Amino acid sequence: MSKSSTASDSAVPAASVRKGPNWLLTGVGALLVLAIVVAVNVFAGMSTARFDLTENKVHTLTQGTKNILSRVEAPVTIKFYVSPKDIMPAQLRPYVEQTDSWLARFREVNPEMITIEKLETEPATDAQEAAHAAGIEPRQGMFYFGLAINCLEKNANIDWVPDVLSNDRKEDDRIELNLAKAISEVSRVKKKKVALMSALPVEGMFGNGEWAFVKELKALYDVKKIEVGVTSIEDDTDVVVLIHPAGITEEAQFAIDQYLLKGGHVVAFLDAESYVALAQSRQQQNPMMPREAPEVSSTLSRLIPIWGYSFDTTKILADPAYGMPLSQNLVNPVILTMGPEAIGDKDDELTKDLTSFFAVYAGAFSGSPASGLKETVYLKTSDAHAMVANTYADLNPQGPEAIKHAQELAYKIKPEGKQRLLALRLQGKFKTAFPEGKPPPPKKEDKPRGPGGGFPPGVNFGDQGAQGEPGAAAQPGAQPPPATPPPANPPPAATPAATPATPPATTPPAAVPPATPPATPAADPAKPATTPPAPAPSSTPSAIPPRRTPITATTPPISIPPAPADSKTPASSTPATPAPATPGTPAPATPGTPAPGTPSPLPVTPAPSAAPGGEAPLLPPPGGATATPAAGGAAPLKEGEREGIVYLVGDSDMIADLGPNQNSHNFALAMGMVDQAAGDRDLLEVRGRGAATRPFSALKKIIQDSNQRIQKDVETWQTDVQKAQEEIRTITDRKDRMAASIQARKDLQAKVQKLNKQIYQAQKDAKKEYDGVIFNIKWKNVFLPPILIALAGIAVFVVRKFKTAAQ
Amino acid sequence: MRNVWIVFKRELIAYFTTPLAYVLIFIFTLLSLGLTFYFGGFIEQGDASLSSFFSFHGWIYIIFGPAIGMRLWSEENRTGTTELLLTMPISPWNAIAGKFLAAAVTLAVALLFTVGIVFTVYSLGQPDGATIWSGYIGSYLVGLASIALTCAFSAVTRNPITCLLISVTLCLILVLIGFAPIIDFLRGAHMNTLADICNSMSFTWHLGELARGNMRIQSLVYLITLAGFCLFLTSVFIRSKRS
Repeated sequence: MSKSSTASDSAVPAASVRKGPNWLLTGVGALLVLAIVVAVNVFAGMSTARFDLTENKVHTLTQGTKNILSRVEAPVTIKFYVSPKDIMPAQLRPYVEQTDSWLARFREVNPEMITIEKLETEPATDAQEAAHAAGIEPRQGMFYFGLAINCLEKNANIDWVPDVLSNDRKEDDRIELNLAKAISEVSRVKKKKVALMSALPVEGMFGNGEWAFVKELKALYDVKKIEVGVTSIEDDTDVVVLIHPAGITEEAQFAIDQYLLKGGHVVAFLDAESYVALAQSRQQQNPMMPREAPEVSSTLSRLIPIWGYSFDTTKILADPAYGMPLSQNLVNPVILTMGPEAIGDKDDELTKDLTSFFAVYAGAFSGSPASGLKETVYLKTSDAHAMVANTYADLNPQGPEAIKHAQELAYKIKPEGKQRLLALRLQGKFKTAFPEGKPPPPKKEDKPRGPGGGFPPGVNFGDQGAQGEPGAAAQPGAQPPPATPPPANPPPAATPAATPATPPATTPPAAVPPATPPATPAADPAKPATTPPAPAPSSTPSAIPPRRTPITATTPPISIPPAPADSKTPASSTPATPAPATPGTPAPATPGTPAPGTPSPLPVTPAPSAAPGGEAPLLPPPGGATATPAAGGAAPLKEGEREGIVYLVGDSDMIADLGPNQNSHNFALAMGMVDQAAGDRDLLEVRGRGAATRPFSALKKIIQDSNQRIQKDVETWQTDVQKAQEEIRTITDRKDRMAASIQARKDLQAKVQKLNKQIYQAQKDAKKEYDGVIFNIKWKNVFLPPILIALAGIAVFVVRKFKTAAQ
Repeated sequence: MRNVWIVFKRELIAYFTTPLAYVLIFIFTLLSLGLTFYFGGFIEQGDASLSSFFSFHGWIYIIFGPAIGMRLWSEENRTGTTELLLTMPISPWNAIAGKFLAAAVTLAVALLFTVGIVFTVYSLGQPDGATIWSGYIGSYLVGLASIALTCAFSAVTRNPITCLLISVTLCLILVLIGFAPIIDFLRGAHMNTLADICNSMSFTWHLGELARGNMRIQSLVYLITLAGFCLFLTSVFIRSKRS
């Protein structure tokens, strides 16, 4: 190259020769530049600098995590137990790197206190022994992929990391939340106190079946169980959590009332039709299971009206705008998959980062806050909603009966034209709902029921949370989840032996009368005669441990196994408690007989609660040691001494171990409420980092609109069909062989056929309309741009041709 | 700068007064949007994001980049106008920059014809806007890198088809080395360092990161320096030819 440079350079114009050093434009120069480029890239590769352009900053540690890590004052060791890569299935290997990356980000924040140890865990090694000791078990007996977090004497673990990583490296990594939680858990000096009341066996039975939500509560808080007939709430309780408090007594409501007036914080998950309770009530059909199921609805009948709201427990919310799609143009409006548009206050700290919610057979609140109270709306219905009889609640939400109900509701829903509330917060100085003073204790026969009162064992749902329970595989009783993989949990063998196996006979195929009479006869569909038993999802270990399904709100599967039969558990002799509104005189503090294996309530700790060190309270401190016990000798309060806070949610199933809940922000919302109530702002912030789906809400609306358009006609035709069929029956019953009758019957049959054809045609047209919209979207996007560019090309060609011809 | 503008204008007119640009943009839009809607499950996924759209771009640029860039210098070499161009009072860099910018504008026009999908995704849901723009930036940078690569090879060949074949092969390699099964294979064979190097050199990984809204300095540096180095190589080749 340089050989001929002298001769040729003389021919090059002087202007170009002067530009830059010539030697650089030779092979040597190119190699030098290449070396510089490589060096720059190596340097850039070592740098972690980046811009996180996502709206929720999903690639950056949240300030909440950073705060938690910065507060750590004792050394925290995170041990990463992972099988060697040659053993690990290829599909899981990228996640090792992903985990390394997350751990490195955690360490960067507080390198002095956070230590990361990566241990290649092979059989018959010290690492394997340590993994077992830390509670990290191999999947399929061979793959280790867990994290053990230790601080001083406290330990926590994430036993299978892939569960909390996204499988498509999108925005749904939950490792940050799980790690931050674990570190917060092990490094926290004193836990705040939470009183938990539920008529459902949320803590499970026999050490099995505890709800993931409750498990998380217990990991972060000092949880004390209280009964639905509790007479007082301890003053040092930071938060009272109510999960479907069916059968709550007046005394218990009085205790909550007084706790609130003293500045207490209450988080209440009520329900118009608890899916879990419904499932349990179906299981009660089995004569082998004599125990009593909780009522399917729950409310705070004395308290909610005084706060300015109403909550109808006989009707469930049907909202076609948020209905779960059953097929391309059919939604189940009583099973709700809600997107960001359902959020009331989008700027609230609790909901600002949340986008997807799931609710099943929910109730809804209507009204406005009483004077002195401030309302914050978290979730609301659309204008298209209606309240329908809770007989539309089906045990199998994707079964034929549910489809039939959905078809009916598609035409029957009369939009209320206003919005109701599904989740809200009330803050302010509350007024008592018991101006007459403490209610009298209930009569003995009205003994309150509770999970300790002989309820069946916990309902295990097929798809457990990130902390998946052993034995989580779905059992008969409901449709298996079509879109959810088998739980990524230990095989059934890992189920404790104490848990009795459920015989197939426990699945009740018997007809069940509706729990509540229908509001209108028209809206009273027949309950399914049988609950088709469905095969349990396979728990057979596959070659690769199953991974969490990506967030898809379109086909949320729900599976409920029946509760294991246990004849040893004493049956409750208490009859079903009437609606709480019925004034009763409950026996003071008469808890039900605890079922074997149920954790006994924690001992009453009289020590006053202390504010956690260094944590600025988000909300006014609850109760406080200064408050005087109302249930004791002191006179009951009539007005709030301090600002109290109530979180109301119209569906307790939102926090049950239902598969779709795991793929939504339900847990983030619920735990966020508790965190906010307890003043843990940091975890609240991290929780916003959950599954983030951004659904095509417009398509749902198209389905809803087209259904509404044909609603009136179809209704009329259906009525005509019914009338014609009735007439046919009448003619048939007469059994006369008159030619006129035969002809009339024939005419009617022809009419029915014609009407049915019209209905079918209308439905077909609605589907065609939807398909047309999709076709339009595809056509406009796929073919219009190429056509436009082709037209532009042709235009340019023609113009040029003309110009050339003119010349 | 004036010289760059003159060359740029000349090249741009050459692109858009012949069917080349129209045919290429036609194919690009049809492929990228068709694959997104019919193979990427854009509607079926129900997710208001353009992840499925950008996932095909790396593969499309294997052909599209070289197709745009193949004639930049090889055409001049074939007709013998390279020498003529260089006798003019403009530096090789002016010519390279002008030609490259014209190709870059063609690429931008091609991407511009796909923005309909952005309006569609906004009409159907609430997408993360910044992530979409990050994806477009990533796609554009990868496209520019593939054009620059082609530009370098077009400087040493007389036949545009030869240039196209070589460039397609190279672009294919740059896409494949970041392809998940290959990375998994390398990691499975205990070649982690090699796997990391492959990832950091691949179009696939960088485009994937940018399309997720994770704009790493590493990605920007890699794609810009790769394009810059290829243009530098072009000038080396042209100078050697002139010599």
